[in-house]
Amino acid sequence: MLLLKFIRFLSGYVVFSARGGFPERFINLCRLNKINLWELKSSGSVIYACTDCGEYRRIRHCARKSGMKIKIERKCGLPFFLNRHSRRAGVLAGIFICITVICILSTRIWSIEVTGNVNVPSETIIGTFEKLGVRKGTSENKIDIAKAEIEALQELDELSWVNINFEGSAAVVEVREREKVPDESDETPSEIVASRDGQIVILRPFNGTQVQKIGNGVLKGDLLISGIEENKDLTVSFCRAKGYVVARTERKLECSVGKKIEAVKQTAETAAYIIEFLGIEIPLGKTDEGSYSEKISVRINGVTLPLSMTRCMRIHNDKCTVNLDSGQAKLLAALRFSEKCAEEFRYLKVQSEKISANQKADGFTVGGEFVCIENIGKEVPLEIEETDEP
Amino acid sequence: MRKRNCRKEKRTESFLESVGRSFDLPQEALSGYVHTEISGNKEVLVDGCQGVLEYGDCAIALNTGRLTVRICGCELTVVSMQNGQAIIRGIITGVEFCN
Repeated sequence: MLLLKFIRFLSGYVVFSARGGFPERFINLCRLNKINLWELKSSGSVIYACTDCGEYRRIRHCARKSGMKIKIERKCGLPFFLNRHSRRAGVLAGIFICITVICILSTRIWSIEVTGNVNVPSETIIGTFEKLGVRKGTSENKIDIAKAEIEALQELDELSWVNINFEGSAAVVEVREREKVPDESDETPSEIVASRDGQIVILRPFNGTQVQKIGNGVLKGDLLISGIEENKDLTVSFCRAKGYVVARTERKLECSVGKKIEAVKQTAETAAYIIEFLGIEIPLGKTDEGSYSEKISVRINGVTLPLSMTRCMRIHNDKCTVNLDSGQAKLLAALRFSEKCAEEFRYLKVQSEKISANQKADGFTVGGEFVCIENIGKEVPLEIEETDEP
Repeated sequence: MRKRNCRKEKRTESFLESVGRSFDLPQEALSGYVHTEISGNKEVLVDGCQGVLEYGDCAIALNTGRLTVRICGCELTVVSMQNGQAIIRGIITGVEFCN
């Protein structure tokens, strides 16, 4: 019904009224003359109906025969609309441009989205596909999807599977990343030594010969698990030592801040904008190299439109010297100390700590002594010299 | 003479009806009856319409050959009338069949 209404709108139709005479005879005559009438309504002695533009002229004959007087009530449809606005060139041009833009944009790629990636950045995948011709503004028909998928897989070794789907005007690139298989083939002889001084708490050798025992104190560089294994026939064989050694260690951290520090001060900030439409970039202002940029894409109801704006920010800094009072120096020292601790103790557990803050003549110092539990095992290659002696 | 014709017609009708029934064919296919579909009290479809006998606000009577179908109601609109098929919409209160 909707399609019929649309076709009628395109071809144009007339709503007319007929009064007096015999409506039954009028309808029958129209039927016999194959004049299509629809939406026939009766209101008192008047009937209202719709008919095609071309058939309205033939209706007069039927109306005369049945003694009815007809009158056009309304003209509907595209031909009448265009005729009404024929003097308004702007409206017609607007309609033409609108239709052209819709026809062109509906066949182009508006945006590229990547799904299924974890380690490989979306920008890398999009960049690769752009090199292969799958870019914003390209016609969907011009893209050889199978070829692009194969070439992308060849370029991106980290991916094991790629598929391009078109959802409306968006190209959705589905990827699966290759799972790295641990390299078990490398069996170069090695041994595990201590990377720090400490007392062994846990010792788990998986391969090789255990040299130390739990509770032993070790120094940096001491052998923990040897890569030399003694066979039953008293010969030796070399292997790659594996295992982990957890020890109680001591660490000292210190952070000092002087009363005068070198700082960076923001002096000026310049911004430039780039408008991008279907991959065509229109710069508004001068953009500098190395400036910070932020891209904003226009989205409506979850659909990314082919219009985006990039804001390029350039911040100009100057070096300067800042004088700090004791409170500021203490605060800055504490802040730097906590940052250093967070960095240092990321992969180890702190068992006990003793933190002190001291004010000196030239500034402030925050320090701490920590007892930690950490893995001190470090794998080093075993140096073997081959000799001709039996 | 008239009586004889009537009997003959009845016989023919009953014969065609019985053939239609035995082959599970729709009644209107052989006997020439009108096919009528009523959707609630909003729409009536009459297939086999040969003309309009009465057209008004509250009633539309359609000639279907052997029968006259009279649709009563209010706000009646003939949505379409093509190829012997009439679709009438409105608030339908009754459908009458007259010989």
